[in-house]
Amino acid sequence: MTMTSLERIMTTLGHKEPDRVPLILNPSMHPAQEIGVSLKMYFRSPDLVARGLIETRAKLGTDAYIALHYTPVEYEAFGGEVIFRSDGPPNSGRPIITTGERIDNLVAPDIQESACLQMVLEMIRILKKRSPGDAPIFGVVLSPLSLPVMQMGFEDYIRLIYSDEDRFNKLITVNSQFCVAWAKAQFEAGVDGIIYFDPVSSPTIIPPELFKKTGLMIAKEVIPQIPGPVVATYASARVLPIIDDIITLKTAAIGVGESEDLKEIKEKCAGKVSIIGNLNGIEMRHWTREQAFSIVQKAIADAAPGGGFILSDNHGEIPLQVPYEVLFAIRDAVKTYGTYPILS
Amino acid sequence: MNFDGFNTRITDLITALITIDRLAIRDILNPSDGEGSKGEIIDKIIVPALEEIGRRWEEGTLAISQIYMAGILIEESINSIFPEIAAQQKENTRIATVVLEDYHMLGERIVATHLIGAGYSPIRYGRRDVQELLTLLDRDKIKFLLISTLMLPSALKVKEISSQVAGEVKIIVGGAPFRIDPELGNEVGADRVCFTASDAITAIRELEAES
Repeated sequence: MTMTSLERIMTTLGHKEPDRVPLILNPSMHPAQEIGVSLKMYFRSPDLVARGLIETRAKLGTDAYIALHYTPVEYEAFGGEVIFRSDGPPNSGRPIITTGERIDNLVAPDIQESACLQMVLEMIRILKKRSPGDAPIFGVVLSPLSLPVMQMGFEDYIRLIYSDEDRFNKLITVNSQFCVAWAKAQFEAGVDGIIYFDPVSSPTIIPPELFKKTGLMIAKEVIPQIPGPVVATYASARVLPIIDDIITLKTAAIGVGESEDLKEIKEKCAGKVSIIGNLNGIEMRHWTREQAFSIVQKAIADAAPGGGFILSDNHGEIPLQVPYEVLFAIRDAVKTYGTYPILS
Repeated sequence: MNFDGFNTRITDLITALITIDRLAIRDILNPSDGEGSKGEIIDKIIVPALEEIGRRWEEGTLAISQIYMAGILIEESINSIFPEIAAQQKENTRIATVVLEDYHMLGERIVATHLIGAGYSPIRYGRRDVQELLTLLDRDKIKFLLISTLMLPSALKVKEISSQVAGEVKIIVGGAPFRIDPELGNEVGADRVCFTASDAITAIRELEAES
């Protein structure tokens, strides 16, 4: 029996086998190109983003909506400037925290008063109202540990982590309060789950022993306060060396990058936490249809048996340079190889 | 100093860099017995230590925060022990580091510190767009340009640089997009792709030897 996307995702997250492997792809910029508006105009419009999400899902047959305008929206809410470009996702501009005193006096933005956060909430409400209701909507929060990369710049932030524990803790306290409030606001607007985006916790960025004292402790404090399912993702950075700790967070799923061995990850996670990943979004630009089929087949064989696996990209956002033909090939490959039962 | 002596100091330096032990770093690079010339200290202790740190980053046993701190500590030490290297900047150098269209300058900073550790004096351009960069390359008669990128669109912009300066400036690239897609360097016309900051030292030395 064919399941709805919601049933497919929920069965997978319950570590059982659905009708087929769920697929989540988020080509967040492609709709703007299709309707011929600038990325800035598109991303500033809750109506266009909601419409783009609905039409993209219909076109690709994906199983969830990622209700995100752009990653630096929280940084923008703290007073940062978002830089829009024509060929890629909006990026954060200059750091807004340039002195220690700025941390001492840092106050989290009021969500009700923040135009950019209200824009996202409005998009979620439109999406909830206009979408068929057969697929989960995931909101996104930047983790308290990862947001300072934009707030301070990577360099100053690393120095802070290693040299000023008091101010680091002050910064994390403000960001944690904000993170929880922002997640709650998205649930109130209509999301069904939250993606907790935390690349700094990856051993690619900080050593595991530092993660145990920072990112892990923060996640243990923050995630239980989020009123619904949470998916922890780490951009395309590595997670295997810290996966046992991540499992203790009891999130519904974790996102893994292209460098991970899915078989190894599955052995660690089976029955404990579902896996989302890990197609290489950058290489994908020049995949042939045959390559897409071969890569999808392997990912499914490595991670899908027994359930607990959602096929997706490595980063959570498909680059604008990836042609639709490749995304269609991935969709078709999932239909070909992703129907359960699947043998490893 | 004999081979074993250098090896011990390399191992000690790596430990001191990872544990952020400034006093130990000073003692290793500037021992009280004064053993080791400036050239020996750079080529036989600092560069091998940075290469080993880069190797550990590549195998996944060190994190970018540790690579960054190691580079900063080496830069501090070089400025303190060999101030003449810092003074050479802008006079003799023909090496520049830049980050294209991005405010995340960590990668560029790490590469610059590693080059300083190897005895070079790169000019740091910081964040630049393509047109600004082309003007600076011409003004400063740059021969080796090290470009750090974080996002794919910025990495693709390297093509606009390489097509303008082919044959005059050697382009060395690094950053997440180039690690994730090993073909990307060729696609954008780079002369070398670096997967670690210490690879940049090797790349410069090889390209210097070729030119």
